[in-house]
Amino acid sequence: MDEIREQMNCRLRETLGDDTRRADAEQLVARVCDVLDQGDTSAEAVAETVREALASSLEQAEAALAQAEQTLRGRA
Amino acid sequence: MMTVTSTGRPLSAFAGELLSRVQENLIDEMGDAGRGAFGRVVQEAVELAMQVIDLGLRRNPGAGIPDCWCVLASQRCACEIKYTDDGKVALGIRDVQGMQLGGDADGSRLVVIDIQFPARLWVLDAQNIEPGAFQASGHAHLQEPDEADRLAIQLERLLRLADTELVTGEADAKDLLREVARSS
Amino acid sequence: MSVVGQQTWSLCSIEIHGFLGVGDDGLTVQLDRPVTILIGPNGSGKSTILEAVEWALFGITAVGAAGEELRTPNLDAHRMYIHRGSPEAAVHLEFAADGHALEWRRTRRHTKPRPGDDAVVCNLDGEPVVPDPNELFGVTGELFRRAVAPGQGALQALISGDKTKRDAALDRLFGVELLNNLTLGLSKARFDLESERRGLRAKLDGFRSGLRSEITRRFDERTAARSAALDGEATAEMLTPAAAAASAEALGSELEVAVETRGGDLATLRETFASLRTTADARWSGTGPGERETRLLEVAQTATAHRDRWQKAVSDRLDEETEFGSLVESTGTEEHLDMELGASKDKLAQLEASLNAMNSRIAVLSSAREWIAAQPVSPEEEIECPVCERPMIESELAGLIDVVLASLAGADGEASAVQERVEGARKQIRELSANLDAVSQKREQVGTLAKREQALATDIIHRLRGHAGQLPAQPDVVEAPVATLVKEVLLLGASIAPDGSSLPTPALNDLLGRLAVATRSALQQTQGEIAQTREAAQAAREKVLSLERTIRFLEAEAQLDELDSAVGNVELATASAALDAVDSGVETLLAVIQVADGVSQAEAQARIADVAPRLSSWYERLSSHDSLRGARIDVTTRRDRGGSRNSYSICATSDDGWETGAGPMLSGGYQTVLAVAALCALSDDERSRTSLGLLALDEPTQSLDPDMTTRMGHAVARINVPRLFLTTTEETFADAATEGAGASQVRVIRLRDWTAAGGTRTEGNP
Repeated sequence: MDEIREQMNCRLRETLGDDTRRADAEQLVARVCDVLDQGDTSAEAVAETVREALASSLEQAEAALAQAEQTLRGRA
Repeated sequence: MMTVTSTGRPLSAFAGELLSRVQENLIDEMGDAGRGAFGRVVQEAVELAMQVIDLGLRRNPGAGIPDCWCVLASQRCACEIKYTDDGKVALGIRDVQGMQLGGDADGSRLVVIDIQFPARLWVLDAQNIEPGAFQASGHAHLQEPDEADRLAIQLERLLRLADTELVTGEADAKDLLREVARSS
Repeated sequence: MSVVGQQTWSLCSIEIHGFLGVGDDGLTVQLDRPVTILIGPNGSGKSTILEAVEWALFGITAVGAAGEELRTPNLDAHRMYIHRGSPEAAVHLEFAADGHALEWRRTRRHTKPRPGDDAVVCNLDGEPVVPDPNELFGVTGELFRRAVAPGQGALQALISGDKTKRDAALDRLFGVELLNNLTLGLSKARFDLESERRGLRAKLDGFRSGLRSEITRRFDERTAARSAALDGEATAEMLTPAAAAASAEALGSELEVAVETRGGDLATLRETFASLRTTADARWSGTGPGERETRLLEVAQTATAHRDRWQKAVSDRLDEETEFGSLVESTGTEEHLDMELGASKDKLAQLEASLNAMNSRIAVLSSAREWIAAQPVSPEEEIECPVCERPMIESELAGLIDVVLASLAGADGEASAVQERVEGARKQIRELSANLDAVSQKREQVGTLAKREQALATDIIHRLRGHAGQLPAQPDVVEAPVATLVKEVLLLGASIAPDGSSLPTPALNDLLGRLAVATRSALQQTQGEIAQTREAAQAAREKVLSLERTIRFLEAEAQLDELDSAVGNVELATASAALDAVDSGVETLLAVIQVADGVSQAEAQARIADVAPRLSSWYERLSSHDSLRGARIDVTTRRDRGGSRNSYSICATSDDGWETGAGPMLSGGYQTVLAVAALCALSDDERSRTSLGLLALDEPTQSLDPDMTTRMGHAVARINVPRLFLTTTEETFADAATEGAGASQVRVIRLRDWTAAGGTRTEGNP
């Protein structure tokens, strides 16, 4: 996995350069490669890891929208 | 009371809708050139609002960089004023240089008016901003909330005074803003 | 890898107890020679022994169900390795390398079947070491399955008619399955995230669009209200609550109404406006001068219209009286006419009597004459007169009668004259009657008109009496003269006799005339006052309406400003920022997917490049085909259902360019040969990077005829590896391998039929 990790990071440097997304992309690659290293190499494990990485933003959005709905309904 | 959040200081329903109508009208009249005209109207409004806060505001008319120097809080800052209707602002190298090397200013500020609903205003510390496509909402940590609030209050007041008469051509809109600023 | 791991470890012994089909009695397989061939019927447990090695090292095996169950908390999946009825499963391995000995033992209890609970012991030269296969041998479970013991499944997959299965097997063998799963997993996550993101963004956009449309509506209402307010009397400066309050207070003073404004509170302003409006409307609809106007109009009506009618009646009566006078003068009075009429009637009666007598006489004489004429006597004869009854000569009598008749009835006779006199008398009577009638009628007419005149005058008095009751007790300066004159009229009216005979017409007329003039003057003044009041009320009303428009604007503005809290709603802003972060994350993910695809494709190509020459070499060794002497392997990568999918092509090739891969064009046997060649080629390179000198081929003779089986046996036996472990059901293969490697290099172990009682057993074991 180390080799794959390095290859992916190298390609990210080539494609994203100094784009602010590069750091986030490298972090995501690291997380996914760690899970693969731990033995669970299935597609589902990878998908789950990625979902977890963005879960907090989705959960935050979902909770905020639910709250906003209540507030706006209360105003109406 | 508008609460400043990580997505900028929201403008009032009236101010946001008015700005949107002003832009629509200018685009209807002038086509794509209307966007540039709207940008100039917004710049005029923001500078006049800043002038209420700092009477010593110094403008850089025409293509000068930065747009103006102003004390919004405690230090004199070189300010660049931009507007967007999709959250993104294109910062040129000269824009950034103007803010960061702006004469005898102690700080630099990027003021962004995002009229995409709901309209928001940012006042961002621009010391370390890079040129390129810039999304204010992705740089919430650079927000100066007190300055943004102070500026928004004056801008909203100015827009309220100008009211729907502001929905007109560029020159008339700017004249109206100057007139209400003078007489208020 | 440890320092000790630099040499190549040979597996020397496998001891199994209570594992899968091996019972508690267990069995031991010694790998004391380079080649070990396990031969036994199907189901005897050959693969079990290979699996035991894998299980011992890694705690799991490549068997599908067991592998997939790892991620579930299902303990049975781990417990299934323990032989039914046994309390535990245990596998003991011994390795040797350059004078060193390594023992490895794994034990799993029925009560604690998870891999993490296994007792794993590893001793190197008698000293315990960390039991990490990767550290010791450079082998992970995945590498073991690819390069050390690919398993029957791998071979079957390589010769399967299902290309998807073949490609999947090659992905595993090449070690790119992991990369494929990586791209597939990334893409799956992307689709899931985008689906969720779309749902949340649609919700956010729904809120925003609902809010935006409400703002637009209220903004338009505010604009319309502002235009309406400015079109009136208001200026922009007046459109504030404070200015509206000041306007309301000023209006209140003007209308003399107490107002409450509370500094411009809208609800209070609205209430204040309502009371101002009521007052303004009341003023506008008129009190005070309006009532006076009504009274004066009524008096005026009486003093003019009714007076005019009365005066007309007076005039009519006077005209009639004049006509009556003239008539009497021309015809005489009624008494005189009556008297003359009586006399005329008497005269007529006399004349008619006289005429009647004459006519009788005429009739008698005429009858007598007719009698005479009818008598048959001669004119000289005597006849008795029928009238006087005297005898007379007929002709004398007849002549006498004729003479009398002529004097009476002739044209100029007396009867005719009397008749004329009768006619004359009658005519005179008629004339006198007519005159008398005319004079009577005229007299009656005069009487009627006089009565009407009186009635009208009485009516005027009666009306004025009514008006006097409506007049205020203390009339103001405008109404006072009218009131005074009304009183005078009433005083005069009191002197009129009930029959109206003492009607003081001129005096009354004069008073009424003066009353009409006074009333007209008072009315003029009153109507002037009313006009002035109305004007002021109208002005006030307009100010009130202007105030209402201002209030309506302020209310519309307040309605719009109400939405500020919704626009600045923190949760919406938070949700928006969070979704922006998700957008950014998805963009990052797309970049990573693109990179992963690239790496996956490059890796597959690189591995192919490594394996291709070895494949050809292995195929040459294993194949005896006349023309298909070489082999080739290629790969293309495509995106399929979000992940990278490699499509491999392994073909046997001929010198003249003909090539055939797995499929109906290549026999099953040569497909096996091609597959075994691929397995050997693939594992060569991988094994070279490990320190585990072991290659296990499980049943590599599927679909081979005896000749090819023999050839396979010869070729396989020469694989250069410290320990080669072969399983087969074919004696031919075992014999060929023994022959190929040399009997001294081969250990053949025969397995007995598996039984439930005995489990997997080797011959020689009980």
